[in-house]
Amino acid sequence: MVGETKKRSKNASTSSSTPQTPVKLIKEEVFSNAIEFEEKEESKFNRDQFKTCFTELNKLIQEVSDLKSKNTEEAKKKIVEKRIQGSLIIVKLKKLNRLDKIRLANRRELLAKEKLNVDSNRLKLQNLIYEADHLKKEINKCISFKSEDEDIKLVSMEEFLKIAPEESRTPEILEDKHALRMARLEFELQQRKEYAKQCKELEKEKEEVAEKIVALKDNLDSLLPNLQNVCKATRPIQKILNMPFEIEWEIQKIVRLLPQPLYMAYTKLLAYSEVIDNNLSVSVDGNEDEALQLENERKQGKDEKELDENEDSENEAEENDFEESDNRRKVQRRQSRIESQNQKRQKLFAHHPLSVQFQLKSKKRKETLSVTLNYLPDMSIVTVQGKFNLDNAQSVAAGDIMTPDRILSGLYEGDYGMESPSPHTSYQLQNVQLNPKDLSKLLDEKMLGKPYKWAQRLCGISVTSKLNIDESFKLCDETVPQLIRQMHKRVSARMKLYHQIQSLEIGKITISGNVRISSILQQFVSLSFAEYSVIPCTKRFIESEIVGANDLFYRAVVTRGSAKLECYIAVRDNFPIFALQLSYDNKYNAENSSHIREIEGFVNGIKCDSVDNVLSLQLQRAMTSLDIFLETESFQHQDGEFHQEKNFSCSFRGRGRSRPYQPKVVGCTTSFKHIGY
Amino acid sequence: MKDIVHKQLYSTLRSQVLSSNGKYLFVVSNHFDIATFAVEKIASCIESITNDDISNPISIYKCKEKVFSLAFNRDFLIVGSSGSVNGYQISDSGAILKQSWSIQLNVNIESYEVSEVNDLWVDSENDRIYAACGESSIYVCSLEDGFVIKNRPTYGKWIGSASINNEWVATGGGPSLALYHVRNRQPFQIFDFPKEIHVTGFVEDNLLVGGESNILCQYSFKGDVMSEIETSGPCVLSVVWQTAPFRKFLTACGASNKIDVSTNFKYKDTTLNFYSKNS
Repeated sequence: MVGETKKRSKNASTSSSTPQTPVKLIKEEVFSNAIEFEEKEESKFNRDQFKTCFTELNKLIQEVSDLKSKNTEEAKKKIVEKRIQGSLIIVKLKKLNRLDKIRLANRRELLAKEKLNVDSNRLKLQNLIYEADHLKKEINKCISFKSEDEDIKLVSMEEFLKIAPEESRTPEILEDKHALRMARLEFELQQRKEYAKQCKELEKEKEEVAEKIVALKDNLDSLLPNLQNVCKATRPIQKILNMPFEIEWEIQKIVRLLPQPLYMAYTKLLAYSEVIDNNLSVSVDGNEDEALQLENERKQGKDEKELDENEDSENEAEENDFEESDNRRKVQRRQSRIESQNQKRQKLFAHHPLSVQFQLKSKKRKETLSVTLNYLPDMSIVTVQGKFNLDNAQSVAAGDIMTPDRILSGLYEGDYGMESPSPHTSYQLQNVQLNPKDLSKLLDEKMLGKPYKWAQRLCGISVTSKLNIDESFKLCDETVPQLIRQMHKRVSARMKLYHQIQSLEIGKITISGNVRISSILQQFVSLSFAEYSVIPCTKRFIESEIVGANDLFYRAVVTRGSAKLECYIAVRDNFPIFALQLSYDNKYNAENSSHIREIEGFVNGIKCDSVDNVLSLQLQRAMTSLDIFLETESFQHQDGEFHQEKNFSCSFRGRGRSRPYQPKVVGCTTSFKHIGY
Repeated sequence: MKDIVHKQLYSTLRSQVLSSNGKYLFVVSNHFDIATFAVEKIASCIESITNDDISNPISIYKCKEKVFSLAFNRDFLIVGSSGSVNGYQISDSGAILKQSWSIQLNVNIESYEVSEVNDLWVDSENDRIYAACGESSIYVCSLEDGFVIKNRPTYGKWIGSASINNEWVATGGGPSLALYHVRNRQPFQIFDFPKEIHVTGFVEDNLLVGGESNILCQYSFKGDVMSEIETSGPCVLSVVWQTAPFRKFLTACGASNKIDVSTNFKYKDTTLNFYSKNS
């Protein structure tokens, strides 16, 4: 370096012609000049220069070595010359090296500068990207922005076009979606404001009316004591005029406490009795206080819940009682279970404290049929007790007819009240471990009567489906007239039957027409179904279900000479059905003899619509037929036990050799004809 | 008692006849209703043992006059009424269309009652009908002109039925059933049918007897019982049978609402109802 500076200074001194300045100054100038120069040189610098320098140097070294090997004087001279040349090249190399360094430094500086530039640019770029992202987000936000106006229900477009003011539906607005929206919102706001105003007005009116009502109510309340006073004052007049208004009001009060089914039946029956049937009277029976209590409980709707809670707490208390011995506890628990079972049973069979009663007077007004309707809310069925009041009941066989069970049984076909009309009942009974088949027995024990199907209809309860009130009323409406007619029919039929049986029981038979009957009624007694069903000739009636266990059964015995005719009579639906058995030389009935079959058909074929004494007439037919059968039989066999006493022209007719059973009155004599000839 | 129940319990089917083509069975009840049954269908149902309801008639015709006996000739159902014999036209489907002719029998006008025609027999070769009446007389009428040709009153013990074939005559009624030989006119065999007799007939090689009993009997000529068919009612009033065109087919009716059908002449195959609950 020192050499370098020396040389530089030398160079400077040689190149510049400027006068010498003080050393310090010159030094600085030399440096700056040198730097300037070298920078200039540097720009001319080329890497190839190194190469040429090295090749030259190599060449010189080669030459020197060659010369050395010659080892001549001349060579020595030349070597010196060459050494100088070589030194010059080395100097040159040195310079080149320095230039290279400068250049490197320069380039580095330049690179650093460029790097800085690039970095700042990158930073800018990132900034911009970030900004762009932000803007995108903003845009998205704007796009997905939901205005509250979307939730507002607007009037429909058509309506808006019709009723909105002209200026808010100009064509420009209608074209621009946003403007249209704005217009519609504006319109909506207007309308709502108007409605709010109206609402306020109406509320105000309402308050006014309420105030008025309160005032009027006060007025009304103050009227009641006055009216009561008036009522009290009119009591003597009521008595005198025989117009018991107040009693009727009392009844109305009780009637209101009736459960719905009974209420329905009561009102309909009452209406029917007032308008159509004077022989019918209706009343309400039972404990009014209990009913009132029940009604209150029902209103509060707490009865059932409370009961359940009580039960639960009892159970818990019991379970907590661990100190008791095991056995004792078991016994107790079983007992309590039985008790709760009993309670449940009782609840199931509990009937409403009020019942509806109606009385049906027979047309002659001697006998009354009274019917009591009970309602069992838990089973929701109506049960019926019937009672028949007679002036003088003394007959044994006839007495059966009028028992409460019989008088209403089978009023309609197949309706004997033996099973519940409701399909739920059997499950309800099974729930409390009772046999559904025992229902009628259980009801009998509780004196509740029988759950006839007609009673359910009368009370507007449908057996198959749940009805609403209107349908119930309709059902009830349809039932009443028909039921009352049916009951009248039943009562009068039973009365007729009763009187007939009464006289038949003592062997008295009233003969209609001018006929001499030779056979004698020996016996007339009532039978049970079991007794009836063992007789062979009744088999076909039972098998074809013309006769059933719920009917009434009697046995009449008619004799003539050695012949005995037994009549087994079943009464169903007001009509007696005869089954005949003749004991003569053999036993005959409709199964084994076409002749007995014909007589039986004749007896059962009687038309009875307007006749009072069907049974007697039938028995008379049976007796005359027996006579004729025996007389014709006797004629055929010529044994002469029975003489012809009846008037008939020929004994046998037709293929089947029928006998003349049909009486025909000509003048004052009765002759007999063949049936169907 | 309801009318239909009474009819079901106490109807008597008095007479029956098969149409000449063998397709239909006509039965008359004591209510003067004539029911038509389809023989072909009944026979095929018995054969194939199907459950088709064949027990009810295909139609019931209510007659205006009383009817006691039935016969069939060509296309006419001949009906024995009281004091007259009437012909009815039958449609192809077995329905009774209308009355087409009537023959009045000059019965005893002074009689207390007009006598009924209890049985009819058709002599189709000579176009004659023989009508047996309740007053114990037989009328012979010509079907061509409708005149009564002969009137033969007879008296005596009643005969419920008589049958004849080439060699034999069988009669029965109040007296026991007896078989006579046509040539020598002597009773050949007397049968021990216990009750009164209403029906006799030669079926195949046997003698068929029905009467006031619920058993329809077939005897060989020697007097042995060949078969017994139990009937629905206590008494048999009419039996008809045919062997063609559909197969063997025999029906018996009497004091019952039911008609018993046999297709082998040995035992009962099925029963038909005259009146049913929905008729």
